Amino acid sequence: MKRRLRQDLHTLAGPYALNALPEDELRRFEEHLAHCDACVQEVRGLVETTAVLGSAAATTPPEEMRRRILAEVARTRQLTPAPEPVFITRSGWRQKALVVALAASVVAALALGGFAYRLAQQVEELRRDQSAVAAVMAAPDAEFNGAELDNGVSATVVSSGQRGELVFSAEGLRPVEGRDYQLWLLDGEGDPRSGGLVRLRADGATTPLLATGLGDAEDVAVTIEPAGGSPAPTADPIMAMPLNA
Amino acid sequence: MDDRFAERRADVPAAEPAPPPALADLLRQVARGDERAFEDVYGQVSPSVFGLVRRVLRDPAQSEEVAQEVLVEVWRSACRYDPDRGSAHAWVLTLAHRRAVDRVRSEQAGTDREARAAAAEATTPYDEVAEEATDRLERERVRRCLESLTELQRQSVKLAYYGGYTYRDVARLLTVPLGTVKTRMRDGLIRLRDCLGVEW
Repeated sequence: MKRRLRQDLHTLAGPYALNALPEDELRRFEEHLAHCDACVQEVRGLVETTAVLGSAAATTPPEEMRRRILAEVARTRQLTPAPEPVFITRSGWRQKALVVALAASVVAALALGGFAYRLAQQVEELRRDQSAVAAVMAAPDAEFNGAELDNGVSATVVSSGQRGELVFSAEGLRPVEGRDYQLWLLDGEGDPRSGGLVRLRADGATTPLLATGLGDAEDVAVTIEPAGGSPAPTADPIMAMPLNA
Repeated sequence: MDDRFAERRADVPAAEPAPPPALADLLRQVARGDERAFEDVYGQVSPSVFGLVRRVLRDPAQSEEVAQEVLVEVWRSACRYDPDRGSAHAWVLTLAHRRAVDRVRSEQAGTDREARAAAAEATTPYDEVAEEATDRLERERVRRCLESLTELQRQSVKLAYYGGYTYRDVARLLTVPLGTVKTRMRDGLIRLRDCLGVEW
């Protein structure tokens, strides 16, 4: 079933490049892309191909349109470059991740009272969730870790070494236009591997994210990435925490 | 459209002479607020943006409106273009296609898709596309490559891209299983990519 699903996802590269995926499948495929370098490569080639189809439809626009657009441009404020093009070497990235992790745990320790309560609530909510998530929660070796940042963001990670899976959820994250929050699993060397995209609900909480193939991951971190996620982190983590605190 | 394409086109005379400043470089200038650079960007991409949007939406007035949104968006978010992720032209046309498709889908909700599709099918694609803006040779090349696809591949790709349909709609329109349409879209595009010599 799992293999079938994966194969199925891969054929979505065609509809994806053609913008022919309905919303729900688009999300699923983008999540898949975050894990699949080969798919990213393929999608690129297919998107370039659709662009040739687009060019083949070229038609001279009315002159009037040009005037209107230039006028609108003159009074339109541009977006500021997102915190994206900060490419950090892996070791540099890990250091930053650790600094943030440290800061997060200090904050967590300071605010433990209310935080413990919120953590319990998040855990409760996870419990009620889908079966795969519930299975991690119910694993005999399930470990619960939480962190709270001073900006009101809190996160919970439940991991099971036996199952090789973890469930991540957070509260207080704000949507960023054209960006996605992405979870990373860091091994002992600090090498990040995507754990999938973090989906925000309208209330600012996340849909519990199940990351599989935990392997030797020791830490988790979250970054803000261009929509659809990145094969490797392109920005500093906004939060990070060890799996075995 | 892109230098790398021109190089690979040994069999066909270069269709579009590469314009002096590369689009990617212009976008970098635009990202710094350079309105003059934006005028050059406009010169390079507005025919494809407008043509594509009109191909999908069909209504000329609405197409102008959406093309305007797209081009202002190019200005607004030029700093978000990342050359490592694809060509500048593809970035712009992806923005354009998404906007056009969003417009189609929001309006289509509740209307009779089949009726609209019948209308889409009735028109001959290339006569309406062909206008003075793009080079005939480039269009000819695309047409030849589209013809090298199987009937089902071609219809799937065209209904999705030029018609703005989701693959589920396409499956219904062509009365083929969903899985088949997904596969045909992918292998159709792959064949097209290889025929056009697109490399990325």
